[in-house]
Amino acid sequence: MTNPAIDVVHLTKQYGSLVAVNDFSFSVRPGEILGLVGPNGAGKTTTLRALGGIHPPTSGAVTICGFDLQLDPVEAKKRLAFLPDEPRLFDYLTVDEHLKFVGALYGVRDINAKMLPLLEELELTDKRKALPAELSRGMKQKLMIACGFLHDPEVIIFDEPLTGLDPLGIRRMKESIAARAKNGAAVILSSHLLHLVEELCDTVAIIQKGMRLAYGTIDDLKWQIAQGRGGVSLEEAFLRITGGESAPPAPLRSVEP
Amino acid sequence: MTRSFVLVALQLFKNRFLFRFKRLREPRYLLSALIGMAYFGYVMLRAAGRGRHSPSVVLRAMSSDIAAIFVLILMLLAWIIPAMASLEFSEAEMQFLFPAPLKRPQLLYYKLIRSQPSLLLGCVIGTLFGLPNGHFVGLWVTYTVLGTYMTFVAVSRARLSQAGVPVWAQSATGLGLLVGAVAIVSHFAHKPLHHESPFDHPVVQSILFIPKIFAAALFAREPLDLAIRLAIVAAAGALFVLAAGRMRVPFEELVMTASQRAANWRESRRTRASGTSITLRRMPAPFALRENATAEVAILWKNLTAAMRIALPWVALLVIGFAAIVVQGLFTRHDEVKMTMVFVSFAFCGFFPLAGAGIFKQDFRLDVTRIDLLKTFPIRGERLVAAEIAGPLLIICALEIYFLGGAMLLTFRSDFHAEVAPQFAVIALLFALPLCAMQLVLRNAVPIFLPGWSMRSKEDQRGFYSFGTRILGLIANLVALALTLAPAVAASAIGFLIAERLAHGSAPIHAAATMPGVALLVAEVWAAVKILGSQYDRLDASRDVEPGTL
Repeated sequence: MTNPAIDVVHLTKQYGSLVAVNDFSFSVRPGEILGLVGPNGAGKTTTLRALGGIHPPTSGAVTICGFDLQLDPVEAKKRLAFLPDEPRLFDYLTVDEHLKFVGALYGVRDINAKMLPLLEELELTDKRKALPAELSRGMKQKLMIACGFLHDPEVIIFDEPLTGLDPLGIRRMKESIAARAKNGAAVILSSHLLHLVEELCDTVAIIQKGMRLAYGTIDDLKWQIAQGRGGVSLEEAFLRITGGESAPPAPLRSVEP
Repeated sequence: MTRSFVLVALQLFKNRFLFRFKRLREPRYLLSALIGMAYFGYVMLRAAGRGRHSPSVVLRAMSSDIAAIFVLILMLLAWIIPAMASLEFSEAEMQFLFPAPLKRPQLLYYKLIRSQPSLLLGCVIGTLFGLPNGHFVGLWVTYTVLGTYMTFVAVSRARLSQAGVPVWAQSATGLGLLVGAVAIVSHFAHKPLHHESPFDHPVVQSILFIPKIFAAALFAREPLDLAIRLAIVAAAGALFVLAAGRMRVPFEELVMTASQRAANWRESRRTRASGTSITLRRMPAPFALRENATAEVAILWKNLTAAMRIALPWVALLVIGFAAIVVQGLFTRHDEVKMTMVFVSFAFCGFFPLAGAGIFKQDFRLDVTRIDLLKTFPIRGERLVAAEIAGPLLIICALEIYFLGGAMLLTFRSDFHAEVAPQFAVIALLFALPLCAMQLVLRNAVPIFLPGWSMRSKEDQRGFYSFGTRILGLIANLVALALTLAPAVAASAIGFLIAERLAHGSAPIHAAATMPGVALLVAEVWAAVKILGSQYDRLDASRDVEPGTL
């Protein structure tokens, strides 16, 4: 069995007295897509930001491709792409310049050969000289994705990846995520769109109030919820687990995938 | 409906006040607010002290005329500058009020009521400290009615546009009227009939007839007189509201456009003030970023590209402005002018290392709002900080050397302490780079150690807090700079004295004697970059930055 590309052990993140993420552990292997789902304010974004090296965890450890994010952040971040839901770009750099800058940061060789197909794939070819102010929100999101994909990351973290994309963009994004996982990237994505998670992800972690409520393959979770009473959707499973329906949260045994 | 509008206006005012009051629990807000209030109080007390002196009879007579001229200019400017006559509503107001079953006069009425609490506060301050002989009620009613006039102008302009009168023609007419009025008033102001006021000529008085109706309410002394004048002004206000409410224009569309324009204008003002406004969008990058460039070079390239697009006009202004001073100094035949130019050029050299870091902010300060993006970069903190500072340091040092070169040239061509010049040139040149670097390090320390202080929300840009933060920042910068420079200055002073004694002003010996001081300063910069880098690595933007500012 291959070593996990992402290994999160007892991750805890506290803001004063508020525990945003509490003792959260999981791992993602190369080629695997993990869906991180939970209600608003569950701690999804905080978890992802801790994995992206943006917020130092209060305790616990995050390892990316064998490199501890706290002890060896440069090597860990070189293998990582963090794609936030809200694109943050440099107002004063054009689309082309963003890619060249990111290429130099991550030591990408033969940048033009990598840049052009990405621009083509994300329909940004005719916007190469545009500044972010001249791009729509969806295009900014695409540029952010292009910057993230440029260095062929081994680990990709998506926070709400479909926000701001048009239907064609959504389809291409889904294909792109699946293709990158197929090529060996470990992917984590957080989303409220449970059908997207069900369609793309191999495993799912459900968190609420910073606590891991369930973790396992989607089929395992659905099977446990159904308890022999026929098939259930991920949405039904999610609502049962988080207590979103009248029924109290279902007690679940986490299944290590 | 009136009751609801009043309640909403009062609640909004109360909530804003409470919000500002509650945040004083945070030391940064408390400290800044206290300093801001102290400064404001000082300025106001000075103004009040001046106001205690009874104005002369002529000035008293002129007050009403000057106020009328001010009102006239304001009324005509509303026709010239569309942004002045604005129909601005907040996003929340548009979202809730426009779909509600309200008629247009009711919306205008709401706008009028909503503005009252802050207007009242402004009038209290204005009456207490600003307006000699002014009357609070008069000021309040006049401001309110001028607000309704602005609304009337905004709607009228839209109606005229609908009728086929282009916007430029409306502005041109307003400009023509303004120029004509100013010309006539200036012409006749030189020919007063009596000595009470230079504006008492009948022609001037007829031009100022309507504005004087407003101005008179400001200065009425007797209660009956005040009541009559207020009634007249209030009636004018009612007419403006009535007329604006009756005109057939797409009101909602007009408001949305005006609100968007106002928001854009505020945003552009904010970016200009923070040094992030892009002025030259198509300016190319200063050099091509090579494929094998390191992350540090990439960050330097990014910041220099930003400087080209944001701050190049500043560079041009400084280069041309200083060149003009040098040329004037070189070619003038008057010794006094030459001396003045030498003095001004040295003032430039001395002041620029301090001011340059405030002008060229294309470093960590520019990227502080993208701190979450920076944190994902595969680069250690100290390298990132050094690379961030390198861009503006290059620009500031290049300009400083240019200024020093110009100042030296002027000095050599004059008889102004010519014998000291070589030593000074050596010391200044050796100190220029580490001094500029230290100033940049200090400026960048604020967003790294206190990111919350350097990222201001919309609410932070107003009030005492904003004032206080600037004053506090300036004081802290000067104190920190003095403390960091003190050891280097002491070491250099000792070296200078020894060199003077032993070598009698030999430039190479002075250079050698200055080196320990320069080395000390370079070491301080290096240590400071290390400390900043380590702090950056530990920085937790989620804890240190207010939600909503990132």
